[in-house]
Amino acid sequence: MRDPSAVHGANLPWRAALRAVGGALLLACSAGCSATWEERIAPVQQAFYRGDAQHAAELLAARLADDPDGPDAHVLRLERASALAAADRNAEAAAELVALDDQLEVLDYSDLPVAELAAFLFSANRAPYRASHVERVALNTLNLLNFLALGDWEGAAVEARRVRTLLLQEDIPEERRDASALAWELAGVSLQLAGRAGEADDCFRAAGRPDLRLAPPAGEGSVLVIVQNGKAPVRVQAVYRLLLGNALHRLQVPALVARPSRWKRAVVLLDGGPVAEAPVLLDLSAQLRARYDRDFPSLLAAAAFAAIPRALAGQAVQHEIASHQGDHAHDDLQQALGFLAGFFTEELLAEALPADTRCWTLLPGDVRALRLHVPAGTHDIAVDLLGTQTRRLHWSVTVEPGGFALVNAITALEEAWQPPTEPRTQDLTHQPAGLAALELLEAALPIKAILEQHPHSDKQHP
Amino acid sequence: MRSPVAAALLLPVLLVPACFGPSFSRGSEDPSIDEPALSTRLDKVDLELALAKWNAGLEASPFVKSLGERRPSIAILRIANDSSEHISGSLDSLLNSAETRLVESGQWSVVDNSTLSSDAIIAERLRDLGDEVDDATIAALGKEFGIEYFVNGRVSDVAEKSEDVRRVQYQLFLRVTEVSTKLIRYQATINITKQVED
Repeated sequence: MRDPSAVHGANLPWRAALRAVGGALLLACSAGCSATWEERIAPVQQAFYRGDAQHAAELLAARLADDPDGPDAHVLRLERASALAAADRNAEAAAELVALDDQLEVLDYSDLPVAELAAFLFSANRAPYRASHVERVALNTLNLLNFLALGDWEGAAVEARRVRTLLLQEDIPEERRDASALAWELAGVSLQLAGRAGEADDCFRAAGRPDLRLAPPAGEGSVLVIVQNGKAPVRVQAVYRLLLGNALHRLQVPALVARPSRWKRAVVLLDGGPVAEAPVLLDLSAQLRARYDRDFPSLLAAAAFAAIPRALAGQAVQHEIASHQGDHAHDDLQQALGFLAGFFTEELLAEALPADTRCWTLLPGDVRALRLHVPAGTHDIAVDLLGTQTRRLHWSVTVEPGGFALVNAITALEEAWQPPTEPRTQDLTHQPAGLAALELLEAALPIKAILEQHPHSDKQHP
Repeated sequence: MRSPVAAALLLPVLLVPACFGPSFSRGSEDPSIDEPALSTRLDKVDLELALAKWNAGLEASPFVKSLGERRPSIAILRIANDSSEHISGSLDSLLNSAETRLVESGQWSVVDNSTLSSDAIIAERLRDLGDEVDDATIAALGKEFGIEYFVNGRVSDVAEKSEDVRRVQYQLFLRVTEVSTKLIRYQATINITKQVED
């Protein structure tokens, strides 16, 4: 039977354990116990996806008013531009994106050194937001729609030229550029409307299959029906395990989670009669997924890099308790407490420093487009959304001879909000991404030497 | 005793925000603030330089020298934005400044661009104007507004982007056309380069 004096005595190992874990907790909180991006943006998404884009824009404006130059300002402004456009406030949305265009920096994860990427993704003080290439191209593409909605062909043509410059960015190998038939097609339409036929032809040619090319015959006008369908995948906090040194360690990685749309097809109707299904011209979900999959080993390596100080802290706590000189010195209880204190120290530190999951969450999953030629006059345009549910959206548009009208359907406004599903925790040690990450990490840092030769490195995975 | 001490301690805290607030400057007091390029768009300095080059070339041209004391009527129709920058506002300013300069030169009777724009049909035609001005528009300018010469032009650019640098090479192209003959009497190209590095 255990000596009761040992339970309340001065030499208890768990008192040291509690001190260590408490210290870790305090350290962790002082390092920045902060909500994740998905938690912070949830109220905005809830408003947007229940169809109240106006309220979403107001919420974002309030956030920006609180901290106009904060690290989240750029991503909040991207979100606000989406909300403003969905609320038919295209002039404000356009002005927001034009201003952002000059300021928004792009971060290519796969090109960054591991240490730099770790500092960006896992710093207690969030770095200013930097967009992905896909988001950068989306900025100009969606702004082009804002100018088309405003009837400002010259403004749309400027965005067309900007997106063209991005799509042809010469320092990025062609296989790594984000092709966008939609961007080329919309650029062609904008330049055509602005009277720049030569430039328009170049863009339609680059689009490959110019679905939106043909200008209306004399006496008719055209209606461009855009369907921004579904919700783009978003980043959420995921916990993975990876064998670093001789123990499995917790890695917090921004995982990309799909948000499937209710609707698979969008059929356009003119004056009550079906015309055609709008084809997908930009699959943002697929592009974001492809980018993410390519970047995943780099993300894992950065997460592992960020986990090293936590692992060392956990090992130090474990060692301190395990070697504590008291009544239980070196017995099983002390060893177990040492392990638990080390484990919780590492977990608490990790919990307090979530990975950076910021991204432009109000982007659509894909964009479909169809250009109709219509006789001059007023027409009823409808879009039938077909999938697990059916929904019909209506617009009444008036087109002059030779004129143009834009119908912009954003299906996410009809979809309601659901929290993204967090991926399950997995051990990636023997998976290709895990192995690639370890290679990247080893190239950046002698990880084995640090963790295995560390004097406190006797922690084993339970 | 406590209150003055507290006030003394509090004062620096209250003053701190004043030290970190935005600071504003007036160009008339500090002309140097107009100098640095803050973006790749055309700014006041670019426009002044472009206008100075255009005016110097036009006023020294044999065409203008041949006009003598006649003061023919002229209008600036449009400077189209064919660039990859949102500079329509800057081009409107350029157009207004160029009009002002034509008036100040005393060599022209200037028909204000806003007068042309107040005519819905002409305004629509000017909106879609490219390099070429169609015969119907030229005829309307002569018949309805008594214009003998008009200026039109455009700004195009070559924009290139690498990871950290965006460079825009602008080309401002302006020309004077005689309404009665449709002949180009003067034209000039002005180059401006802007660059931004991350």
